[in-house]
Amino acid sequence: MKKTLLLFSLLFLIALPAGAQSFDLPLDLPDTIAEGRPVEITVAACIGEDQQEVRENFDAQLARFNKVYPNVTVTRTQYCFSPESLAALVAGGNLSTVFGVPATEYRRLIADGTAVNLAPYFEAFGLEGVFNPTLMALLSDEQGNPHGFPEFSYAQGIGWDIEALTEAGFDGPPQTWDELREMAPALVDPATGRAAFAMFLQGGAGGWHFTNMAYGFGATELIRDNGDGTFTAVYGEGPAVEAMQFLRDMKWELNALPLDLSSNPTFEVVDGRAVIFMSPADGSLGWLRVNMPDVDLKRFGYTAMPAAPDGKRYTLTGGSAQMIFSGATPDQQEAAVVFQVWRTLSAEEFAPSRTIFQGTQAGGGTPVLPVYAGAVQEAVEAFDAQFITMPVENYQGFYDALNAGEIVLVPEPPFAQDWYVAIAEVMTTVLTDQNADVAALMAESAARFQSGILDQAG
Amino acid sequence: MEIGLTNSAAKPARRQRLRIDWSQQIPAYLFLLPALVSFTIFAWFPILNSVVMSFQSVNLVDASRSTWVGLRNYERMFADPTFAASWINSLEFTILSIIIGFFVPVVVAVLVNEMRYARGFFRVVYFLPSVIPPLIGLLVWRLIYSPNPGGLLNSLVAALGIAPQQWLQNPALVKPSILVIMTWGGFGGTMLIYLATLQDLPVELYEAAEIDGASIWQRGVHIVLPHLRSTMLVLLIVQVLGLVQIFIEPLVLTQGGPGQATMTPVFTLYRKGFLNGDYGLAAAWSVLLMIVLGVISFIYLRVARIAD
Repeated sequence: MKKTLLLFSLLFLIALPAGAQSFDLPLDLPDTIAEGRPVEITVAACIGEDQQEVRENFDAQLARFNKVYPNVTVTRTQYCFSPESLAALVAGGNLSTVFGVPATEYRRLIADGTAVNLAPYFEAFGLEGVFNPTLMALLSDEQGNPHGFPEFSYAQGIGWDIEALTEAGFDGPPQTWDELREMAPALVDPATGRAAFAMFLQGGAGGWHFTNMAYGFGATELIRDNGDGTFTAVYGEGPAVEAMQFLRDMKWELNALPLDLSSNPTFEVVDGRAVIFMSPADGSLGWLRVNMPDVDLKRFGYTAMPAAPDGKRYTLTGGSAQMIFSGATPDQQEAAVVFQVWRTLSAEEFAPSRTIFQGTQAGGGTPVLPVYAGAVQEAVEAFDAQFITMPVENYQGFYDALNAGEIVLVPEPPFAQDWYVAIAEVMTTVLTDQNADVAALMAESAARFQSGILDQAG
Repeated sequence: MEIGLTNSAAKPARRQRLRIDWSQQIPAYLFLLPALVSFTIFAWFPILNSVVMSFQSVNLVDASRSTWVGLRNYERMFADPTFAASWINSLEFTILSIIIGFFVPVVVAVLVNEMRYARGFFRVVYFLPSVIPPLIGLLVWRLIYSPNPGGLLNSLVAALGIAPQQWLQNPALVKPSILVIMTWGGFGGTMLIYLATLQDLPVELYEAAEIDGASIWQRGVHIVLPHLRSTMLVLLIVQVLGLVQIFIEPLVLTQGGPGQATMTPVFTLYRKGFLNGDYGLAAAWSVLLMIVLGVISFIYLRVARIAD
């Protein structure tokens, strides 16, 4: 890791002129903040203990900001998001002025007012159209007011062991779930107990994975928002039931799923206990690059989720965004917004910020979603090209689908956390009881969810 | 305490209680004050606040934006699909733990007490699981319980001709599997308590029984168990208190599954509060849990008084 950081630093010094901003964003940042009054803000940074140079670069950036706005003092705080600590920090008013959150928290933090409404700042600073509109939709309230700056975003996809797939007689991954079902018998190895396909199968992660799968079977909604403050659980019939039946068949008819329902799908494939896995690329391939550097990443390919009947590859998205704490004073909020915009989009700080960001990421070249739009995104991709360490030639399927507009991001269902628990309960029942009646279980689950969760809301 | 002079022989006791020597009482209360303040700030105030929150739709950012919803959170709690499952699971864990794990420390304590040599060594060995951090222990047990044929436990049972089992994925096996872990982690400390109690056992009684030819089983049943009975009653209540609050095992091993087999009140409370951000509903769960634990604690205090 230290050698990699040294390389990043050298590349930064060498490439700074080459990687300088090639877009001319008409930012309209103010000349002064808070009319010159002293302001102190804090910025939460999740920088690893062994990332000393990233930390130093970040602190140097804070010092440069203080030179531009001498009345503003920015202090870095070490904070990596966790739901338990966030609640305590919010309740105590101690949350950093600028803080990062994962995509699963966007809706909640917007609804409960933790994140500041950034619409006035977006308008004042000319930020319309800068960010990926699909990501901004996830970061906006019902009136379309943005509440965060997207920082990183990924889509669900499938990866596979290239050699194992080839040996089984296939030249590429399945393009649909039906194809996976057809390929599964050839991928299963009874002698070694190798499964064909692995995904998270229990808990919230299992529910999240199943949701992606259900969309791939043509489900357009699982919990319907009736628009009048009420909701209807519609997953008790239709494509979601088909998806659950698919899982059941993969387990009991084809013996194509791992024995361990609690296992990490990436580990199943790395250890040879499965051939294909479902996972976001950064959480699997990127994670391997950082935590298991001895694993040869060239062994694995990665592509977008299998296509739904309409040809689209639906996926939930994950990632992170920077939000501004509403518990801060108006002066602090203004300073925080200016700081965030200045450090990521100003001409002089674009390159240092991208370098810092890449220093905290799992692996340059990991298939992820564009955060920006237009010329800004082009400049980001051009600059980030120097940090590529992953075998991107194995991820062409993902990029082809992305460029063809096949990857469609869908928001989480309403009451997502309760939904994930409810559907995971059905999953584990189906996968541990060979005689489970899938249709009946799904219908019962939907009825219980309706009466116990949806009808009680509001 | 001063005893006041009275004209009536029937009144001295009441007058005695009213005449309090504050010069002696105030220093005592001053010594208690730091503890009282600490308990107020870190225990009683949060408890009271939780009760208040259970009647609110809570806004952590701005408490003034929290709204009163009356019994709505309690209605939602009782209607929640996981409510019944959580409490039934607690009851099942309790019953199974009595069957599987309650007598383990008793038996081990009796056996260790019978030892003439290396008693200290075995006291240490059996206590060691108690000092292992729970999370570390659970991660190791997850490997032991691996459902793959090459998993440690499945390898052992394979030698007995038993097929690989889904120890943590089979609803019929998951509770006993978790209770084995909890017994392993907790029996050492309980064993030491029983051992200490056994030190009060009159040696002459024991030796007389031994001389009369009583076997280990007979000495255990007719001498040791009656002597341990009151301690066992108290520790049973303590065990029940702990079982109602099972949390880390479902969190690390099963996420409440398979199905709802290991969903517990504290695990559900955690999800509602920290993952759903529904602090009012989580507070309602915590108030109900507090009431249940309070009832059990009341029983514990009565049993402890009887034991004394």
